[in-house]
Amino acid sequence: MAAAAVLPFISLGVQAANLLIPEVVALYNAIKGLHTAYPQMTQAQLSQLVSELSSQVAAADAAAVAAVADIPPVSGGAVAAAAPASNTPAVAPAAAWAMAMQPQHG
Amino acid sequence: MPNSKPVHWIAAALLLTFSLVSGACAHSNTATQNPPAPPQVQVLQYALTAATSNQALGAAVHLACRPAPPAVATITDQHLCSELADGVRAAAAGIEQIRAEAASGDAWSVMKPKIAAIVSAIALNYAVPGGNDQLVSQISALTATLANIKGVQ
Repeated sequence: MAAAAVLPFISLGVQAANLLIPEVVALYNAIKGLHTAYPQMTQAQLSQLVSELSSQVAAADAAAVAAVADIPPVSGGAVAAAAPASNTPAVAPAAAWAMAMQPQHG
Repeated sequence: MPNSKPVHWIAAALLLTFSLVSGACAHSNTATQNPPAPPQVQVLQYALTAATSNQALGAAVHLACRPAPPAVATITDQHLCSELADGVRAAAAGIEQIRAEAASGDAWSVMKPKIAAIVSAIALNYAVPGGNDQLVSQISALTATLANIKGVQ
C-alpha cells in the first residue's frame, strides 16, 4: 500500500532529475558566458580587441589592393579614391577608446 | 498511519526539487542572453569580413583578367578589368575609412552617420560577363557585408 503511494513520487523524482541536469549545465554555461561577455571586459581589453581588429582590417585591405596591382586603373581619378582618406593610425590610442567605451545615452 | 511520514518527506523533497528547477529555469533564461558587442566593435568585425571579401574579390578579378598561363582570361575586356580592379581599390579605400572612423574614439552617435555615408559611397555595380560565377559571388558577398556594416545600431 505504502509502496504504491510512493511510486508516483519516485517517477516524478526521476523526471525532475532529468530536468535538473540540463538546467544545471545551462546555468554553468550562462555564468561562463557572462564572464566573457563584452561588458565584463575591461576598457583596456576592449581597446586591445579594437587594435587587433583594426590591424587585421588594414592588412586585408592592403592584400586586396595588392591582388589587383598589375591591372591598370581606368584613366581618370579612380586610383585617387584608393588612397587612404584618413590619417588615423591603424591602432587607435587606448585613451580614445577608453572614452568611447563610456556608457552613452541616446 | 505510521507509513505516511516517509511519503510526506519524499513529497516535501520533490517540492523542493521542483522549486529549485523552476528557479534555475528563471535564472538561465535571463543569464544566457549576453549583451551584444559595442557597435564600434561590431563595425570593425564586419569591416574585417568586408576586407577579407574584398581580398577574395581582388584575387577573383586577377584570376579572371590576368590568370597564370596556361589558363585563359575569362574577361578579355581590359576596360572592364580596370573597372573591376578600381572597384576593389575603391572598396579597400572605403573599408579603410570605415576602420579609421570606428577606431577614432568618437561617440557612436557621431560616427554612425559618417560610416553609413562611407558605405553608401562604395558602388559595386558591374556587368560581369557569364562564366565568372566566382567573381559575381564575391561581389555579392562584399555587398552583403557592407550592408551589415550600415545596419549596425
